[in-house]
Amino acid sequence: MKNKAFDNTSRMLLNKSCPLSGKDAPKVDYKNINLLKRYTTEKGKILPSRVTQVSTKKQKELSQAVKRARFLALIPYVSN
Amino acid sequence: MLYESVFVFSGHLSPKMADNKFNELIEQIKKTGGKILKKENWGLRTLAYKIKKNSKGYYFMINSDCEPQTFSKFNQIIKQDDEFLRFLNIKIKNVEKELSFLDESRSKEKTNEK
Repeated sequence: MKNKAFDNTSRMLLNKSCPLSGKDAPKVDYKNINLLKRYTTEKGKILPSRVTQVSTKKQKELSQAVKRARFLALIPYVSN
Repeated sequence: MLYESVFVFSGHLSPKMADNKFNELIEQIKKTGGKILKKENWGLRTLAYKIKKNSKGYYFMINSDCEPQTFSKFNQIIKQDDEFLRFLNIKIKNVEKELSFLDESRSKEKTNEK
């Protein structure tokens, strides 16, 4: 599992620009569970933007969206 | 004001009963002068964690145009009603015409494509 996480981060580090900004970027929304799952760990924590290269603006939106989705039980607060 | 609201009802209910509950709430909103702009049914979903001892829930979403006071009672209703699990209300800037990612009809389309 640790190796897999490392692969993801190293791949993301190569990409310097924010993956959620720009024209073709997906909309950050609490209803888009697949997107939110990509930016959270397996345990359900939000990944830091220094790992994912998400811009500050989008990271704020992302964190709000994750919290909304958690409240509605769409994604877990913690999962083991 | 434009609002987006999500309601979650207990999975112990039959689909019809959940629908009825949803319609009752909509009528309450209409009575206070609100307009319903969009309705979505996300169907029966598994909850990520248990709420009031329920592991499944019916999800409904609406986009509406109404007064800020309209929703003030809803959180009180939840406390008294065992079958009303969650209510989320957020302000939105505009109503999206497309169905959201979670709508039941859309997820069915996806499975058919596969």
